[in-house]
Amino acid sequence: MTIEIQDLAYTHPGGTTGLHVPQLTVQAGETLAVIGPSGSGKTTFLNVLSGLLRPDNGSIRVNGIAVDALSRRAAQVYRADSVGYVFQDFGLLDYLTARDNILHPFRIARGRRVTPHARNRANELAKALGIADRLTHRPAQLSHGEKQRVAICRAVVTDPKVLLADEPTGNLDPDTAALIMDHLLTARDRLGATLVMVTHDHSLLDRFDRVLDFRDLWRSGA
Amino acid sequence: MNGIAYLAWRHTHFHWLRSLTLVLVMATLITIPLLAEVLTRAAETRMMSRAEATPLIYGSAGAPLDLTLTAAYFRGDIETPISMEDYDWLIASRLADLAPVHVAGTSRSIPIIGTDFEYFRLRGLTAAAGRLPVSLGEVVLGAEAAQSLGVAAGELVTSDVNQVFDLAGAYPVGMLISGILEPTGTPDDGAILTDLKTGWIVSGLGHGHEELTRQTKAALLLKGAGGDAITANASLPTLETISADQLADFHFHGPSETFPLSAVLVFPFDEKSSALLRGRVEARDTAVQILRPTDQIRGLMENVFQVKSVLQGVMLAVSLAALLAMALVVWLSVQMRRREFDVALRLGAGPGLPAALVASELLLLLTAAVIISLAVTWSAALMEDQIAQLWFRNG
Repeated sequence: MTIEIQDLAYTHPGGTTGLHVPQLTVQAGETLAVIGPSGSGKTTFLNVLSGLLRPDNGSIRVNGIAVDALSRRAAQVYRADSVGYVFQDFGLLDYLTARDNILHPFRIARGRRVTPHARNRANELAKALGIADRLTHRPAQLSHGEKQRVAICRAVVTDPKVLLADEPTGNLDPDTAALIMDHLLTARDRLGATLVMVTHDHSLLDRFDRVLDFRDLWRSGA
Repeated sequence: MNGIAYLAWRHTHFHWLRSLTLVLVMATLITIPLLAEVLTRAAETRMMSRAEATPLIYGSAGAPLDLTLTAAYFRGDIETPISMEDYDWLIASRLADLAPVHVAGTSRSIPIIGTDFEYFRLRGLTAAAGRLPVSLGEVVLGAEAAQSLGVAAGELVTSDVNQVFDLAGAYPVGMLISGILEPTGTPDDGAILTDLKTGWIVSGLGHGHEELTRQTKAALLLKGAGGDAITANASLPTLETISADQLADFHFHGPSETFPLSAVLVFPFDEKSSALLRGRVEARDTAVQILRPTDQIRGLMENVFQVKSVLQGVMLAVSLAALLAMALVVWLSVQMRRREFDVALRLGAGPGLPAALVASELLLLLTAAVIISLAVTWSAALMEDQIAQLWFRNG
């Protein structure tokens, strides 16, 4: 999915400027790394991309859909159908097994249910990411690397076309971080999805097609 | 199972201790008022049924409720008994069937009631095993009393010593169990019934000992008793059991018309007889009374229901406090799960998910609590007989 942004601005409820992106186009299947200091608006950028926050100004179109103009209900459908999300803290539910965590999007989105096809898809993904034997375990029984792989499976199980990742390697050692990066890129390849990933790990930047540095955006007078 | 229900089930199952605590609190809040209602209604039904089966009670003036509870429910005793003279006066009126009641004592805390054969007829009591008592020293046990004492027809039952330090008081008396009554769900189930004379022996008004003759050991006789009279002293052994071969050795001292009765159950032939009898009793003597048990029990139950209303008010306050505590637990739980809900929102859930999830969990816990409450109440209703007996005995 192509992402097209024009003069995007978001101001926090307190009045401070949260984000300003003058112009940006990410082609379908491209990978984009977003870097910048804390508080520069990286996570806000992902929230706007996912339709959780509505910008004050400008436009954002994902595959032709005006995300900034979506109603709350439509934004919810857009997130459920088109967006996959990976978190720094994994965001796994402690009371569910790894398999149930992967299938979680099917249980919480309106109109969706866990079908045999969804189960097969979850098993396939778990096998591809090397956690097939951990599916009956709860998060507390998994290593950080395994937790993040479960989270990646959960993000891609619905076949989204936009994959958003908010510092997914932030809590991992370098080797595991590289492995998780491999898995994310593999998943992106399989889906043909666009990957937008916020990261502080500069050693990973050469693996992305493009890098968006929010420090530059602020310097450019945003 | 839909997604929300599944998540609710997994969450409550994972946090089982918290869930169990909430279920028990909810079950308690539901069960106590429900159980109180069921049990008081059951008790009222039983109490009123017994009262309605006893049209009138004649006894000494005093607390009418005490007289009713003693005569119809065998609970406690009255301080001032009436005498056999009163009973004879009632017989002479020819206006009612009569059944004398004498609370004679206890056997392992089970009341021993002296009465006559009319009592069994008027109450419709029949023997399930053995037969009704026909001679001195025989008793028949209510079904629950027999079970409680662990005895059967043909065995002996012994009265309690009620005044350990009173040497002149009643001694324990062994009596033959002639039969066990069919259970009736009334206070008769928890009583030992015998004839009036046996009851008086249990009370210490009659006794048995070897016949005194000139050959009786001198140590057993009062010194200085001269003439033809032979008088024993206190060391003369009394008979411990009323058995067939010793019947002749039991006797009473004093005129029989002065022997005591706790009350007389009065079954008037008709309404006119009832009115006449009540009028005559009121005109006869201020030291006695005749009353309708239904009036007394209705008054008692009104008091019980008033107490129950107060308890319900207290329970309501406690319930509100418990509900507030539960609301706090739920609120804290929601606060702790904010990250979970935030993740769900990013994964495509609607804004109503947290409320739907919490509501589903509460519904699940409430369902479990209601099932427990109904099971407890249903079990209590099934044990209505035993509970009613407890009510009759201890209530």
